[in-house]
Amino acid sequence: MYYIKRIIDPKGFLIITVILLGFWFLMSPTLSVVNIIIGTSCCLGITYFWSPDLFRPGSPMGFTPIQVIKLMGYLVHLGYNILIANFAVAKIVLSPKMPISPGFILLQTKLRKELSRVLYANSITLTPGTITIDLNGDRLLVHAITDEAAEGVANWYMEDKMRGIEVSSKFWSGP
Amino acid sequence: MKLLMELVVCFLLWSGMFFLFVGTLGLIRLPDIYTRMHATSKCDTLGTGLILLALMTQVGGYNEVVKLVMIGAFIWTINPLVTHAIGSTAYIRGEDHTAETFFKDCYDLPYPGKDVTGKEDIRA
Amino acid sequence: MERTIVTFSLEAVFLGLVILSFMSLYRIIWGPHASDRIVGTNVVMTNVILAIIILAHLFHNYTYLDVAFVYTLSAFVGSLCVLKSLSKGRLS
Repeated sequence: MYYIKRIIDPKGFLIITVILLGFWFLMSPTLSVVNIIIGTSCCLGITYFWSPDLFRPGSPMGFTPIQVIKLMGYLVHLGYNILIANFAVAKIVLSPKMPISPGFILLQTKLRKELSRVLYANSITLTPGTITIDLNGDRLLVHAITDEAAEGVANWYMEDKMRGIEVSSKFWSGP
Repeated sequence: MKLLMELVVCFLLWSGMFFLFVGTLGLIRLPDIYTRMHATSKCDTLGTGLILLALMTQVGGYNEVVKLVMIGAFIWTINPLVTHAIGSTAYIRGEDHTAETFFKDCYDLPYPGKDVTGKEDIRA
Repeated sequence: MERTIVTFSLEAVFLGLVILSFMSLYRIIWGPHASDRIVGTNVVMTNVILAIIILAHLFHNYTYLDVAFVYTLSAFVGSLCVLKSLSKGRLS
């Protein structure tokens, strides 16, 4: 029958099943036998029927402990920048004249991996006066709400931090 | 000590409420779609986070706190993504912006003449 | 349930969320473009999630947290579907 599929990658299958089971037990209220049986069967079924979409060949992903520590530092800086951004937007909105001078900027990033580019685009969206509108290759189209924000996003210090996280990867190869 | 805790929780709640109010006021006052997204994306994210943080100290029990943390994490990751999608949709559909909008190109010169979405020109 | 300043603040914040939803209804109804309406709908969705959680705490019925969780997941997916159909003209 055509809908019985062969399991391509047994190790990845087990890893995804264990992640789904962990999520199930995080959400389930009690730890009874019925709960465990239902959870295990649901996780196995979901992973089995979606397995052609889950396992795609591509660049390997892995995280070293140094990367996780650097990512924590990055998140702390991101929270500080989010606070500043909120007070800036509140100042603009609550002042009666609304001192805005909006504009689009086309940037080039130094980042090479797709995941770090996406994370950097998301942190641009959350921080002072700028939102990312489009991301294609190494080009970022950014909308800024004031002139100062447009000048500030062109060489932002968070990009160097993200570059540092990217370079210390185990699978890093390239410039 | 209990009173101090309650005062801190009330401060968190009211500051979250303030940021949500600023976001909605910006949604009404600002002139075009891109600047409106500035107000809603930032202020809604921080206001939601503050109110959820205040509620995490109030609900008892491990299970409820875990659920609140998951809701907060989902909102903090999905909200910039939806903002990004709205921005690119408005840009592709060519919805108008305010007249004093400037354009700047930090990419390599000479200017390629094509923008990232494949439309004719960014200045058109 | 004894009344403290925290419960009073929670009720006031709930009332404020309802008022803010009605304020963003202005942008949903009179918004000049489709994207403006979607931005307003996103604000209403975030307010509804917070309101469900606050009511769950005030009524001591924490089953509603699951409702808020599923609403968080499904609401943004619906918003993304509308955006995709607006930008590409189809949903595939």
